[in-house]
Amino acid sequence: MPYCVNCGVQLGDNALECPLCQTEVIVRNNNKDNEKIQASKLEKELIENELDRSLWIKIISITLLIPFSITLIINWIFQNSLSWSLYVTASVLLVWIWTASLFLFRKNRFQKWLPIATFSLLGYLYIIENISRTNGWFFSIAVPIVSSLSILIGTLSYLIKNRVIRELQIPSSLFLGIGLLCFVANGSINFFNHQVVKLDWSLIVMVPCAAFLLIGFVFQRRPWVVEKIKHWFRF
Amino acid sequence: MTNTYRKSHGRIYRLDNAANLYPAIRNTKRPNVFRVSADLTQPIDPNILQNALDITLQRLPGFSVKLRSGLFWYHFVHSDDRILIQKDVANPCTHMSVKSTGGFLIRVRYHQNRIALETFHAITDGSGAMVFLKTLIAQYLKYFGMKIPPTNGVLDCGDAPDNEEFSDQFGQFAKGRPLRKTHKSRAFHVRGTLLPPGEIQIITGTIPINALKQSAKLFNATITEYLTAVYLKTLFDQQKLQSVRLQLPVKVQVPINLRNFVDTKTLRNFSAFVTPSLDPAYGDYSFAEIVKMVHHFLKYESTKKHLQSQVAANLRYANNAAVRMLPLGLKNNIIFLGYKLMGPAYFSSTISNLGMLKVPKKMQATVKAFNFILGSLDTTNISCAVLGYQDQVSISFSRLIKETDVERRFFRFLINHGIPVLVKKYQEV
Repeated sequence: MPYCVNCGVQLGDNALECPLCQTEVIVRNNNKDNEKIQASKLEKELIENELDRSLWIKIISITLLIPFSITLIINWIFQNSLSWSLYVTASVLLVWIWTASLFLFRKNRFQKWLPIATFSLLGYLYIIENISRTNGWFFSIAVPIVSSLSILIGTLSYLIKNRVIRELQIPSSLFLGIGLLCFVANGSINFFNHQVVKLDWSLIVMVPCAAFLLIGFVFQRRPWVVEKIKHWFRF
Repeated sequence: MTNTYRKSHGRIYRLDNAANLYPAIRNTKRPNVFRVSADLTQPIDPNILQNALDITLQRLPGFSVKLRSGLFWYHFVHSDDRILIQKDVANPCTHMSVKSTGGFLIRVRYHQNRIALETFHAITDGSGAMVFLKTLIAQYLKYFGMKIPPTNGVLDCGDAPDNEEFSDQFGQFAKGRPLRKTHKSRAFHVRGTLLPPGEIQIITGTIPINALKQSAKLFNATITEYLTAVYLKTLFDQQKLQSVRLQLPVKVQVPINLRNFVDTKTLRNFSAFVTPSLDPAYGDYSFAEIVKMVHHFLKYESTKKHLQSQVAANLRYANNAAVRMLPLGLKNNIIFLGYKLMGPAYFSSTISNLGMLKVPKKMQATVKAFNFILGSLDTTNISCAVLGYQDQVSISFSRLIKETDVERRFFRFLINHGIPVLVKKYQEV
């Protein structure tokens, strides 16, 4: 029976090393392969790294409830109506939805969170528009920009997760997304101001974005460039 | 037999007094799961094991339950859905999620010659789990033509389930004035590099019982006292290594089986805890001093009257009218908070000794070894389980950190005292 020369304990016949000090066993009865086969038969049970989700939701809720209620109370006491506090409460509500909804789901958290975040942001902007009585900008500016931003993030995350795009293609696609988003922003702002969908400054932004897109997709086909860039950036 | 089983479908069991804690605090970091296993002389046939399990669960329906939450308390509901045996894994004693166990609170696993039972602590304690495992093995061996007599903790699967086996005995045991709480100080905890979530490292040392007895006899101590003293010394020395500025007391929790004091058939939780300690404020201790302290401490604290008073103190909170009226959600939060404030912060680790295991003679020929593993707690990081069978004692350490300092120190101490130790990793046992 083998012994550990360091600890002095007896070891199992097939032991490769001492479990206590990891000293290698010099004299072994069986070969390494036999032992590896034995050990590999026991597979690890996958455990979901489950967060204490309800606890986090409670903590976030209580933390945000304090400024939420204090603002409303102060506004009500001093002005006998709810005016400026509505901005704060709407913002707190938005933060609450954004943070608490992250803990609602076990799997595919981001994909499920994104639509909730988008709709809550749109809701928030709608409330702000109504409170500030500056009608018009919500549907013509906020809805197109927020929706296209959300679609862009969702699409990119889907493509990255499923490895449709990878390595250099990821920053290239990101630049393309920024360019497209500028189109939407430029078009909707012009429509809001002049009632005409016209692209001007966004075309200038699109030029470097398109250049980055091309560079990324061309270099992706050359593995040595990818390796070099990985080395530079210590990936 | 079948009729009795069917009658128990949907039956509701109350959680025992100790079990109320576990559902409130359980999560992936604190699964509160422990494991007993047996190594047979022959490879396990999964089909036969599944049949044996089905029959054993008919005899012991209290294990075939799912946890449900009521308005004020959790309760178990019996289910006659089939509990399927599973292949053994490299990281046992993990959280019993609905996904992995179908809502049941036990897992039966097999690997080569080994049958293992993992159970959530709310259902039973080590002694109860061992009765289930022995009955399961007896039933398994029956398929190979071996008739194991229903003695030494093996139950006859032909008998009807006994209600007493699933009764809460704490209420009857508690007597006298509830034990007053004395001032407690926080305890030292072993620190190290945490393993990834869901991973647990287990090292088992096997020792000849005669050598251990001889060594314990030199200090006029029992095996439990001796091993507790060794563990205390190990942790005491470990604290010095960890270069902690504030030297905290080292406290080891030792479960005491209350079945030793009353005649009961219960398989539910029925144990209390005593916590011997070493305070570095008094300086260094020789090993003889530690054994002497542990010996007297355990002798005093594990008297029937003292334990009755301790159980009465635990029951006082559960029986409090205000506590009973609280809705479960609120009660859970209070229990969790109480556990965080007064639980593992006040003990360094646990050493649980199931004692010498007795099995029918016929079973001895086919079961090579038994093993007992405690799931580790996220605060204490390491725990120790002891079990004697035939002429061997197995000591299993389960830990959530990479470093093996405590086990190395513990086993080296035994070797220095002339006790040979055979050390194996969990995968090799």
